Amino acid sequence: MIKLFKRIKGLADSLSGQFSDFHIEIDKNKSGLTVLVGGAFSVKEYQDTSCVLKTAMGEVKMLGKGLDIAVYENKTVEISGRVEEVCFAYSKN
Amino acid sequence: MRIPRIDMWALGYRVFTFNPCDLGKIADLFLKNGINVRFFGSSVKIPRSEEERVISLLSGKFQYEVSEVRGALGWLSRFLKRRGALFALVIFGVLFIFSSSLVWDVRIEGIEPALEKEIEARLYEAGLKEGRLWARIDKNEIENRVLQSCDKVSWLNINRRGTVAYVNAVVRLDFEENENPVGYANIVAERDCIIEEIRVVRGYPLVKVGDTVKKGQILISGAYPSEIGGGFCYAEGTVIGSYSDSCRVDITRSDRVKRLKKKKTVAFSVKIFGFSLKLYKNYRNLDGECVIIENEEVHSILGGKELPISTFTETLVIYELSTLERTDAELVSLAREEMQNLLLKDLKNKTLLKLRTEAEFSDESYIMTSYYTCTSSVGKALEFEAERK
Repeated sequence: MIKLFKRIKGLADSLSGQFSDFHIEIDKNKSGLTVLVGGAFSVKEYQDTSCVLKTAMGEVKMLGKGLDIAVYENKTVEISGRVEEVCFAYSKN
Repeated sequence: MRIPRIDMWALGYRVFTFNPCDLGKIADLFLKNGINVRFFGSSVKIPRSEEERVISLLSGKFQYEVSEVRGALGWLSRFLKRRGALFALVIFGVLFIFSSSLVWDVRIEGIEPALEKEIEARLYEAGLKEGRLWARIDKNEIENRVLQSCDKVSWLNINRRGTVAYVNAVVRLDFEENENPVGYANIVAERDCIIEEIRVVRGYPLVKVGDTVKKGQILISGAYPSEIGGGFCYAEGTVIGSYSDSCRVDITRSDRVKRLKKKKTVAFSVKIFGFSLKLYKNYRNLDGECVIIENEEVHSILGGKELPISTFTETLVIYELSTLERTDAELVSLAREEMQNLLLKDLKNKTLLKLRTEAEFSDESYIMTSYYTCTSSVGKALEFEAERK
């Protein structure tokens, strides 16, 4: 599992049960990978082969095949499927 | 780990199918409005509770198709619309309730096949038969009527289990009434026990297998109840009961024992042709315990014919009492031997089921206690006088 997170000033160190402005987790599953992105405030693009999310840290772009998306009310987006590439790009919010 | 949406399956949901080109924008719309959805290809499942909200968000902006309500609630609502199916369900329910209130089968247990047919016929006459409503069956009345009409049965019990009537019966092996007014008896319990087996030769049983009885309680009555004709008899039968008891052995560490101190001949005489000739006699004041042993010895020729000559000897054996101190091993050995003899005596003509022995040393003795459970015949005849009218 690859974890990347950003400390938010004024908040406690522990992030259990709560996502910061930006949080990403990648886990293996049967169909490939599950990429969980916390703090996503917009889905810029979504297709079977690609998905682009806008977050406070910038854009997160995922490329692959057979991608499924799930969105949650706490601004978390889950992409599952055969994720081949995860990229980060700078963008203005 | 994905948590299954049981609320959607129970309360129902609809499947919204979108144009593949619009999926990104729709996902963005749901994300910004805080709606939890998972896309399956171009479709999402929306629970009934959020349906209106989703429709209001999508209307005028995106094209979509909506399925019928799915899940348990959806199935039920479609089912209820089919009046024929609903009517069939109601009819089925009524039939099920009605059929479970009827007697479907009568099973007789504890009786040989030859007698079973006769008892079945008596039960039919008394009102217990297949197809009868349980509410119209009075079990006590049927039991009494069958006992009255059938001489071969001494006890009858009807139990209902579901839609089957189970009839348990005990056969009366003999039926004679003693005319002698003094010759009546009940079989009573010799001790507190639990009944394991009861075989009635004559009389009316008042207990059944599994009952707990007290000492003196009547097991087989010599008086027949009036419902089956009344009368008296000398009750006969075998009643086997199980009970628990214990026996105890106490061996003291020290004991007074007799030790042989001295042995001497105090008198000697010869008998010839019946005449006794005393040759030696010596008695003194004796102290302590003593025993005189008399012995007459008849002489014969080379072990064959007996001669009319015999010698008569009196021997004095003097004992002294002393204290014997036993070791632990001796105590255990003696206690074991005595317990064995006690158990053999107590358990004669009984069947042992369980035995547990405990023992402990004290300063003065060694105590061994055996607790056992056994079965044996517990009934004994107790005579009574009946009043003749």
